Amino acid sequence: MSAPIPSNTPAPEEPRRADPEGWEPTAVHRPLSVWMILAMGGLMLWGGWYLARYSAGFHPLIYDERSSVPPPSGAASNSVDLLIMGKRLYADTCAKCHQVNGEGVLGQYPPLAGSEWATAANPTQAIAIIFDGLQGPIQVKGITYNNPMVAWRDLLSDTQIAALLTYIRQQKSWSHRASAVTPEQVAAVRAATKHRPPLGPWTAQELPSLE
Amino acid sequence: MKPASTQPCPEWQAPSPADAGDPGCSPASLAAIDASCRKPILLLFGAGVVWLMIGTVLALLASWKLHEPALLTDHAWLTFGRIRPAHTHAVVYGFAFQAAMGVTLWLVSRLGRTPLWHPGIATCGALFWNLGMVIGTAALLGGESTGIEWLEFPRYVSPILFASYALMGIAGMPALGSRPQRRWFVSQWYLLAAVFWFPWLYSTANILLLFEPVRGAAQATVNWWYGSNLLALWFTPVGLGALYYFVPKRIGQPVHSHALAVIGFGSLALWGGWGGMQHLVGGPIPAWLVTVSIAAGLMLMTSVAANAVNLHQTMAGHFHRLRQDLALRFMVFGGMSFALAGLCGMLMALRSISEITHFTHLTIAHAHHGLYAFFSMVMFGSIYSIAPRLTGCPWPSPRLISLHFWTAAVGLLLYLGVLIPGGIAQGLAMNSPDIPFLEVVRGTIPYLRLRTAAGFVLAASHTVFFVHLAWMTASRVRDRDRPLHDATAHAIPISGGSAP
Ligand code: HEC
Repeated sequence: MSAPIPSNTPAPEEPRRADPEGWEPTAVHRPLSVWMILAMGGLMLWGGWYLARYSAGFHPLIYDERSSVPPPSGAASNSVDLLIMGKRLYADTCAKCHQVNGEGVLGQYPPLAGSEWATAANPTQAIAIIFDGLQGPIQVKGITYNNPMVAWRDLLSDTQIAALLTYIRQQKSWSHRASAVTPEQVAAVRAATKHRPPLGPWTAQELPSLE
Repeated sequence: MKPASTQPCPEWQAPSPADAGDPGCSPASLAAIDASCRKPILLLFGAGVVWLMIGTVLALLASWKLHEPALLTDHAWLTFGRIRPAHTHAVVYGFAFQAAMGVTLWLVSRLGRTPLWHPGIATCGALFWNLGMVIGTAALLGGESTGIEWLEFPRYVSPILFASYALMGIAGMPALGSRPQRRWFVSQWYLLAAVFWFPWLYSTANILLLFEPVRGAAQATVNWWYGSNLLALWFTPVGLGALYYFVPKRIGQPVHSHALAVIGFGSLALWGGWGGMQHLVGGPIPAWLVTVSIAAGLMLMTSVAANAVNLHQTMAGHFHRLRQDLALRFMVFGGMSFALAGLCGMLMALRSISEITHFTHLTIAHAHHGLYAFFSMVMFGSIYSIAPRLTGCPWPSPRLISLHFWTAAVGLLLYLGVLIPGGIAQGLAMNSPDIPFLEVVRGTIPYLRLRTAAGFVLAASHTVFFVHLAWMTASRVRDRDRPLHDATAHAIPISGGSAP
């Protein structure tokens, strides 16, 4: 332990004030440097320009600072391209079983490409299948399948199901040319089948009764 | 750029008598002032350093877990999600806040030539503050966190902290209001403002986030406003107040320019409170909110530049004193970090840069840049200056002060030198769609390892400081009969080499 050094030993160069303890500092009055004033003015200008340029008119609904167009008034438009949305959803949800090319897996998952169920003029049955799933034997393109399909009622919205079916029914590489499906059609089937879930997935025999 | 003002202009007046220095007050009243400050401020400093040690242990653990995630995961209270907020609260509210409060009270009564009003009240406040800290930290480790950054303490703790703050503040009010000199000194402006800004920030954020929570994106807005302004409107003004007092005081020179000081203070007061939303660039809030924060950040540079130039010009010609004056070293390091951190903060606010740096380790580096390299270093210097006057006992070993300084400086340079480039690399990688996220995470590991190394260096520096403070206390206790206002207490710590 080194011995405490006498602490008020004057440093080699004594502060200007004789008694540093009693003396308190003050600030000198002198004119500002011109450069300093110019630099600060420059910063102010920059800040003001930035504010004017990127504040989007202080509009509460514009989130993109580069935009100068006010967002459309009234209800926000929610138009979406059903084909693009459907393609993404198909890859995420249906392709696991029915495959990306729509051919399904022989003996396990029926094909959607060329399926009479998917392309029927009235989409009600296809909509119902997506809502509550399907079980029991079903004939697709002349081959019988018997394997359960899962239900999507609580997982997909009306718009999403409309997008999926529109995509499937109009897929060019599968040579499908059926009608598009609207969210309203899906909503109508959702309401009409709202008591179905407790009864489990549909069977191929029950479906025709829906029309 | 060399300010023209260093050459006297033709119309430049010799300093008026008031500028030639302020004679201060008589030793007897100084003794009375220091006597009133002794208990509350030593308590704040002592407890602050204990929290610093606690925060350091938590920090090392948290930092280590970032590259060794399997470390100590068997106990829920040792998991990252709990020790990280416990670390930030220990260092921000435990150490930095208490040091700030101690320095503020001391400066206010010293410059107002008025003892603390009923110092017992302030001591009580300090005790309750620590009580609140203990309850809050226990709650955090127990898993009770609000999940709101920098306000993670459960909401029953905030009233305790707020009331303790009020108690401490009340004790300083008479001194804050007294103005024996013709005009207020620069430090007094900053401290007066800070003392009212803190309760404004803290109560607003608590009400809007914990008691009557606002909804959705507005929560993030208030949260960032609070985090950013706690630094800009509480820690920064206290740090600047201390710098403006101790730098001229320790070199025996007046502050270079009154006008620059006015600009520095005025622009902080005007633009300081608008910040925070620059952290939400690209977020779901109206564009103008973000823009206002960025523009205010640009204008704040006037404050940073004016203060940096002013402090630098005050020091100019006296830098050789750093060799002897150890407390001044902390001050000058802190002052330089202030300028740099201010510049980085402004750059990071710009949209094109923020898009890269946000959500990266750079944000953490920046918090340490401001709160540690600037603020805490200034607080260390202030504690080295103030504590001997309150204990009546000099620091036992100048070598330990020097060791504290060098370990802190090296640790900080390593920390910032690693985490700033690391954060930029991480941000660039995250913005590139070709790099999978896990690879980005893996890429940060070398930086995180080095950060832990820097943490160990900083931990060593805190231990040195802690041991030194304990040693000083022990020698004071042993030497109980020494008169409290001993002349030797006015020690300017000088380096061991120059001691006779
Ligand atoms: C878990 C695998 C699985 C998933 C995922 C799945 N299906 Fe099916 N799907 C089946 C099976 C199995 C059948 C045959 C059911 C049976 O045997 O009764 C079937 C039958 C069908 C049918 C009637 C038969 C046919 O081939 O036309 C349609 C239409 C259909 N699915 C559409 C969809 C759509 C649209 C999706 C995406 C939302 C989807 N499926 C997702 C397994 C699945």
